[in-house]
Amino acid sequence: MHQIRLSLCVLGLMSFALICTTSCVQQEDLVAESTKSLEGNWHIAKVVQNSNDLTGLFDFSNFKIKFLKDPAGVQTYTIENPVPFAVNANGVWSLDDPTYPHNFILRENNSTVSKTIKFSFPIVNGKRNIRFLFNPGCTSVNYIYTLEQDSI
Amino acid sequence: MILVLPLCILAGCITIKSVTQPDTFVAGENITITMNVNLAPASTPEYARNGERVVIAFLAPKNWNADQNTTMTFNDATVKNISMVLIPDSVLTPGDAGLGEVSWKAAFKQRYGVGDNYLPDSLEWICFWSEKPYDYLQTININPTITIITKVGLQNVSFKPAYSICYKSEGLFSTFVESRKTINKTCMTVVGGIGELLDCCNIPMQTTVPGYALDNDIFTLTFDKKANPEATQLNGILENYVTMKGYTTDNDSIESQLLLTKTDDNFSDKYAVTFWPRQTFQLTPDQTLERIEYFYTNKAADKKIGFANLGIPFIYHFNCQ
Repeated sequence: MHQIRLSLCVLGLMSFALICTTSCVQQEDLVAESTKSLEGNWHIAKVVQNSNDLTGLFDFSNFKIKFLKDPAGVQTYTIENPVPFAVNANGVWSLDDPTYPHNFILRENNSTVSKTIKFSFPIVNGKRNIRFLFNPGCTSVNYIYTLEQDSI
Repeated sequence: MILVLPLCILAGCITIKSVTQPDTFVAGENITITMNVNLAPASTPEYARNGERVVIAFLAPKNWNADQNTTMTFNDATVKNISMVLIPDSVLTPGDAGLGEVSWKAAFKQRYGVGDNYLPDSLEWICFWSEKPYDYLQTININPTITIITKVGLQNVSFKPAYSICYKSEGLFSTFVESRKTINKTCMTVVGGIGELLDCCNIPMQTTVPGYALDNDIFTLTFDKKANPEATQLNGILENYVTMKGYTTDNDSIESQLLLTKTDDNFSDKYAVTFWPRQTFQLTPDQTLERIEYFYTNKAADKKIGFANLGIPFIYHFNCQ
């Protein structure tokens, strides 16, 4: 019984490695462009609180967050029409790891406190979505915001 | 002719003869519950399961911490005392179809929910089993008395107790239904408890989501007009509101009223509103809401429904678990 289990385990690991190799290549491609792709205006497309979809229950439609890189290379963001989020006022942003980002760091202009939230940048229907996972209130209440870029 | 015997006789049935509780559950004090049970033997040795354990569980409010505060004894004239211990969460049993193996606590919840109660997140099953396996549980007729001593929590709570007994090898999802029995009792309210009443017995008139939240969370109130037939103040009123007073940690109070949206079909009369308290109460960056006190009302707020229809407001405190 143990031997069968071990064989399955090894087979599983090998399959995972194969999948990883192909997607790792994709991951590298997308990461190189990710910082540039983040710049622009984003709006909220979907909000999930714990496992409940709140999108239709509260008006998130006027929220806008804009990610910029100024000529000096400083990465700033501005927020219009705040909703519950890690920050409310304008400030600066960065990624935890420029190559394989998992966290997004935001700091309001007049604050010394940095807020770190989970971040992913999946391609959905051919376009990049931002996905943030964070807790603006109790740590037992999780929010996933899916953001789409404003069309120009 | 083939005589088909019911499985009950073949493999040994469980019968709950009686469950006796004290008349009152007093906050902070120990209570003693007595169960009289019959464990019938298997009719033939080949159906008797060796190394069997008996599993006994009861429903308690989570704030009782009953896992830590319960002792259980099993006493029968013939087999004398069997030591009963809390089943570790690491011990697994088959769960509901397709849900794999789960802890006994989770399996009881899948099988029986929270008995006759509402507010399933506020109640839990406390699960004990015989410390050792026994062969004779299946071979002789046993009429044990099971004594449960547990400590009532300090909070104000009402719930309908439930007691359950089964065999470990059958679990809760076998087809042999006679190997498990459950009994539900009527509503008991803790006497001398503190805080707002956590009422698990009656359909909640209203719910708050999330259960624990801060003023920077998105917050949803739902209101069921039909839950309490005696609360008729808003009958026939088409525009229903929640009329609130927000109290900050500095003891400022801010009033706000929100229109409720009817949420579902013609068969019930439910309303809801989702809002962001910091926005609704127009808090400045240095203000924090401690609680809201609110009624469900008409627009003028001269017709209102409050807590237990007693004319006092519902209260929600903003704090985390």
